Amino acid sequence: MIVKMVLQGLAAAAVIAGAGFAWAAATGSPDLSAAVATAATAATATATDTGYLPYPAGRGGHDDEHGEDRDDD
Amino acid sequence: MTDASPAAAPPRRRLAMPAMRAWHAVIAGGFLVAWLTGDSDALYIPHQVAGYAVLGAVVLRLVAGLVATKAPWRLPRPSLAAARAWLATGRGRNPLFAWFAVALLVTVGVAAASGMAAHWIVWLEDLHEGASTVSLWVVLGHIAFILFLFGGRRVVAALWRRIAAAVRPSIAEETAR
Repeated sequence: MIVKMVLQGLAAAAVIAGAGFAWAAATGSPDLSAAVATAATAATATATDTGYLPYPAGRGGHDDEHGEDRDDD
Repeated sequence: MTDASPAAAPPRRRLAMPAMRAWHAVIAGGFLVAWLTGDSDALYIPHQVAGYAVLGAVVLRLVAGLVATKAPWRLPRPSLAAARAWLATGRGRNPLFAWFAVALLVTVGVAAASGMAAHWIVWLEDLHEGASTVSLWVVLGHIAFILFLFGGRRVVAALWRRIAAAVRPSIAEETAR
């Protein structure tokens, strides 16, 4: 009986997962490769973002107040 | 003479147990999918679908439990008195069935409902994660309890006999008798 119930649960899981993936495909939600690409872009942006001010209200500007980019200091 | 076989029961009674098994399959399968897809943004829609399946199953169970007057759909009613009586006599249904059923409905229900609400109210995400973790442990406890009751007891007894035989042969003889 336990084996039968486990198999029924797995069958239900397969149906629910199938319905979820079908819904995701129908609504055009981001797939796994898109999510990986987004994460990679975010990681790159974070890694190269030093020295720039955050720009919540427009274009970013270089924060050179401390002269971190100057070689002549 | 009354025929107590399922075939002789009224149609509604005949369907009660298969319907309960189907309900169990939906909530168990939904919980499994929701757990496996919980940590990935790319799998958010399958996670949502599984979560709504679980929430729907919990709501259905509560509504059916309010209407039903007999097992298996009547809501479980755990009581300390029944647990004490069972511990004293060792007879009747193990009270852990009812306690586990209530714990499962509460923890899985809170996990599913908070997950649905967290879609709009972001700060509920912490509650959702906490309730999901607690519900996973309750589910694992439920599985361990069922495995122990249906076969596990023999395995534990055999293991105990082996340990006892290794430690002191006289204990093994005593246990085997």
